[in-house]
Amino acid sequence: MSDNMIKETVEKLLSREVDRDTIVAVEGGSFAKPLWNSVVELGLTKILCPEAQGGIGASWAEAFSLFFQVGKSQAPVPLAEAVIGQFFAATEGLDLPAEAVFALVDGAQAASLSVSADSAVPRTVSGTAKSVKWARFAQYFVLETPAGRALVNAQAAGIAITQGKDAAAMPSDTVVFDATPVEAWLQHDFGGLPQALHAIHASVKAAMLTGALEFSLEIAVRYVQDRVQFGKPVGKNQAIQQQLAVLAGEVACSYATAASAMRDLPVVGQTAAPQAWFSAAVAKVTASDAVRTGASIAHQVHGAIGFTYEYPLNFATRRLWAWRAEAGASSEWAGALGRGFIRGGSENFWPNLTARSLDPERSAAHV
Amino acid sequence: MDQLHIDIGDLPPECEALRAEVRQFAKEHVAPYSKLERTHNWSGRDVAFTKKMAEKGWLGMTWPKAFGGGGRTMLERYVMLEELLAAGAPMGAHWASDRQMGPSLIRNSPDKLAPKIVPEIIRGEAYICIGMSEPDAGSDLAAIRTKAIKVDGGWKINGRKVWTSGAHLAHYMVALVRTSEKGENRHAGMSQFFIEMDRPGITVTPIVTQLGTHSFNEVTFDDVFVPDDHLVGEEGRGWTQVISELQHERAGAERFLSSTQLLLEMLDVADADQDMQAVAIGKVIARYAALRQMSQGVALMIAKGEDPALGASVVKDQGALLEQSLPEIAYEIFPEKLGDGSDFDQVLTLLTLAAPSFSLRGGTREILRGIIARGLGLR
Repeated sequence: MSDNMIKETVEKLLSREVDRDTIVAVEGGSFAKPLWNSVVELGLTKILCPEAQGGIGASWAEAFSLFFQVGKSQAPVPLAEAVIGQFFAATEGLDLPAEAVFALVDGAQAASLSVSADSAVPRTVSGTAKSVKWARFAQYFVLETPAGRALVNAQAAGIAITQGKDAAAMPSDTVVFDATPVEAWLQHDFGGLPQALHAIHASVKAAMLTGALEFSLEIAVRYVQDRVQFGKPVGKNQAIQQQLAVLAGEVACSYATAASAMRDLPVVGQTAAPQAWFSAAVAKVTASDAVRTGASIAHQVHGAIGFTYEYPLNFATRRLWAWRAEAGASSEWAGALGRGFIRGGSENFWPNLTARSLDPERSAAHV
Repeated sequence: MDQLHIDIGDLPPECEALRAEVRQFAKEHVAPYSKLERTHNWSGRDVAFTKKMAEKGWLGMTWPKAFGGGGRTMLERYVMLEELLAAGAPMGAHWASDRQMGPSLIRNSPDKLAPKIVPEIIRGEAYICIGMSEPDAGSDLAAIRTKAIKVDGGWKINGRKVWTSGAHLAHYMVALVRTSEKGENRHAGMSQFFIEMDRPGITVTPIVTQLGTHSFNEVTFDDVFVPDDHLVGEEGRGWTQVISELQHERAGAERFLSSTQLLLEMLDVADADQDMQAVAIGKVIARYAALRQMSQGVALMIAKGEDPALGASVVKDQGALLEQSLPEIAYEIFPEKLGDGSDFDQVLTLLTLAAPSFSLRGGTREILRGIIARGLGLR
């Protein structure tokens, strides 16, 4: 499938199948099985997997519109997580069921996970991971622990889940692993990208944030054109126009950086991704920080109606607030960029910026 | 909102080859300037530097060979410029001539003015100022009152231009003036004239900025005669011609790369292990990266014949926000450097004083956001 075909297919499917009732039902605790079946049937969960493994063989850049549309439509299914999980499985040559639900644990979430000593067979993982999206429905966990990336089967022993919700009322659970056996190690070396899951997750989340941000802009523009006060549409006021121009600026910046991050992620089998760490950091900082201005403006120009559960704006803005904290908040990625560039010194600023280069080692916080 | 989606892409290989050459040139010819001189960036002027760029073929580098131009691509020019801007090169002497006046003369006066003037620009010998704003015509450019009246063999110009950068050093001006009274269509009846600055009746008076520097001027015209062939383009089409020039102004790398010296200073004094400093600087780096991707994306789209007008306006708006944030961040996270007389302190003071101009020059923030709002369908 080409770039455009993916975009059109996904747009058509999501606009047909994502509706308010589906979202509300998931907020109430159920899983959107019919919607999930539809995305699985179209092959979207395995969009990045090679055709030999039942996939579509797309690149991340080609899949960008998928993540963007998930954000724009607020589709209440763990599609992005499944695409990422299936990507890591395929990279190891594992062919997992297309309908499998994945939960991802990376970055700070995974920092306290420990792995049993090398001599123990099978090696196990222990520790607590908080705010794990979709954990209660997952068949697989992908854990990027300090000791390596692990695939854990949700049926394995020693997993306890406490249910919770994020700001969008989507499943966000605490998962305790207690000597849980690892099903497979996802040890493919993406050269120069030790925390590949974290970088990919952050880039994908940036694309989703951008989609939700664009939805907020579009619905705000429509609203101010329709809503009449003082005898004219409120959008005729310069004060409103100027604010929406700022929101449009945030959308444009987020879109460009998320698209750039997608281009820099490695495809299945790739052994080097020298720009992925930099571009993921840039995209996640940009999209996460866009939320502060973006959500605030979208609500402000709506007035009170945007604050109601009935009006659809909140389904986008609550996702913005939830997602900006996922896969590393802005401060975390900005810290990495800042440390990397400070340690690089002034003479390397421009060469590294143009090369989109951020050394993961140099960007790390020293303990 | 597809018009907000800037395509991201890679520059063709010849651009990267040129990049290496420009970077080497910058090392030899820009690095020797003091940090304060580099802070002035493209508003700084050094005729000797302009001549060095001319020797490299980097003035008029995209113009047709028939006019003595380099015949290279806009993308190559984009790379050449971003490299020199990032280094802080003093390109003020030729800036307006190279960016918009040369192309305008080639387009609008290919037989009369361009054959004489364009080669002078390319050699780095002709500096042209732009006469647009007037005391009563700032953002509302159509309100200009400077007037040209038809006389035997030419035109007689009377009126006043303000904020004219470099008028005191320029050889020529291209001025937008009224050639007929303002009618129902307020954008009609304007024309552009090419004027030698040594013509009788021209007076140039400095306007000193809050930095204490003299780059702006007031220029008065008192019965200034220009011959017929000094009309640029068509009589009455001045507005359309000027608007197409201004579009060149919007998404260039100069919109976010004119204050890099302060970031460089911060990188050298910052402590990577101090979270507050690392996070604040990291956010700035992310913004630079975003704007560079967008600016380059706009250049690539234009090269493909597309018109990413909305994206270009966003680059300028966001570029000004970024550049204006730098002195604030420096002030906030490096209080110990304030007033110590170091390079850091001097660069910070200069940019603090210069910062308000970043959202005024080339169209104010409010005008720009009005353009973006129009693109959203709100006006």
